[in-house]
Amino acid sequence: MTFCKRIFEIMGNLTIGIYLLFIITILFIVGSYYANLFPNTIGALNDINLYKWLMSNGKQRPYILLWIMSIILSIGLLFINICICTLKRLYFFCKKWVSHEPVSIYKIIPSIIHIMFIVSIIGHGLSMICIYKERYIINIGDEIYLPKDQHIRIIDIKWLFFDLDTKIIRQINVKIKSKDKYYNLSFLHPVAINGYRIFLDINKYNNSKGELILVVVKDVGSLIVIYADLIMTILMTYFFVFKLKKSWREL
Amino acid sequence: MVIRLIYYMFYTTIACYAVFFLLLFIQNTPNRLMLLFFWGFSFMCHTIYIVTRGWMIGIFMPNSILSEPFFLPWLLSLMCIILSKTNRDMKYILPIIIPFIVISIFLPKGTPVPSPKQWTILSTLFFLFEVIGHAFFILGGWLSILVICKRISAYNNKKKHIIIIGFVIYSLAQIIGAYWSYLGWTIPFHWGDRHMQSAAIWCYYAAYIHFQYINNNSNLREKLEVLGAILVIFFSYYSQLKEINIPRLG
Repeated sequence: MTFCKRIFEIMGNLTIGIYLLFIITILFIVGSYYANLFPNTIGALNDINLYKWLMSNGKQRPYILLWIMSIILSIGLLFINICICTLKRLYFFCKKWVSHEPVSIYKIIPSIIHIMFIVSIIGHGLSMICIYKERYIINIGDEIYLPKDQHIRIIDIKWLFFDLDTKIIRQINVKIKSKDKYYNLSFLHPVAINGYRIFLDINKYNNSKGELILVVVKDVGSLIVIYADLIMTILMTYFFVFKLKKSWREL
Repeated sequence: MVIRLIYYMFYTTIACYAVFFLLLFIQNTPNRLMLLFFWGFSFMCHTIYIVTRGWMIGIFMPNSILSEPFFLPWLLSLMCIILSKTNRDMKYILPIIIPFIVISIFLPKGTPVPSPKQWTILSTLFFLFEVIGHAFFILGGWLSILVICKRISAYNNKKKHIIIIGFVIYSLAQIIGAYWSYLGWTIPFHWGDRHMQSAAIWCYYAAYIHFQYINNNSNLREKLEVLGAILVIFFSYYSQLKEINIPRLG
């Protein structure tokens, strides 16, 4: 029991959390260097899940494997650290509530921010573990077969340019059909079909018509990350604007 | 013709700033009004140059305005003058813009061929908040250098607040960027150099903000502020240098 308590205290130490953040910073710097040297190896993490990556790319380059393991371990430890710190803080507020002492909402905001950060880490973890992503080069009339006997048919592709001389692409509209239903797909406007998100991508867009790519994605983690980060940022903005209200005037 | 005018405006801006800094450094007790006039004229030319960059490719593209090598010195110039209460402040704080303006002379002025994924308000807001965040971090780091060198002392508390504001703005840039990345590239975080550099900067400043709760040593905090600014400058200009050879318009 004492041992568990000791571990709980060590892991919930703020100093350790700060050191972990500095370590993660260094690991990301190393990662950006590796991503420049081996864009395909590291970039593969965006398209396949961690298990497949470890079995293919990870085996080929052990130092990148070591780096990814270090970053996962550090973020895992930070996750535990923030969980314990937040629990401690919430326990403190609960005690206050029980004894009917007033608790300002402003003081709870940092705890909610940390909870959202925890949720965001879970989202990233889910993305890494269970992402499904397939890419298909498309042309008019192509049929794309998705898992569970579903398929998509490319009906029409329209290229819109700002000016035919400069050939700067403004948008590309792709009309697709799935189960007698028509969908309009374009850049930055994905569509949802039977639990899959369909995105439009392009290989080359340098003043010429490039290869159009349909990206079929199933990934719950991404949405969790976006919603958690959004709440976290809004709360953080409110918290610091409130905290620095006097300092704004000073500045 | 328009592009030539834009280039003339850039070199006029450089010349105006050169006159302004000569006045600032050469005269022992320069007239504040005269200094402000020269700064104002330089800044006006700079603003015209920055705004006209938006039409560099023939159609209005706000992202060209927000190109970091040109927008960052403009922002820093504005922030420095707001912070400078006296001539002495001006003399020490404003020179931070010199290296950024000098570097911008040598970097390509054109705009990379825009991807169809850039025609969204998300990308504009992302670049806007990102550069503003960088400017706050760099200014915080510069004020720390001045405090360490004992050139100014009244900015001890201000620089911490400047960095915190920068962190909030930078976080806004990150969430906007994450959503843009999700819509355009299917995931909010890419295992690529650009995203990992942003994550490194964010984690560093998150650690810095929490650091004040465990250590009150102002010397160490100032060193962290300077190191953070170096990290931001390195990553910003490293990505500019990496893109130096890509085809550009304008």
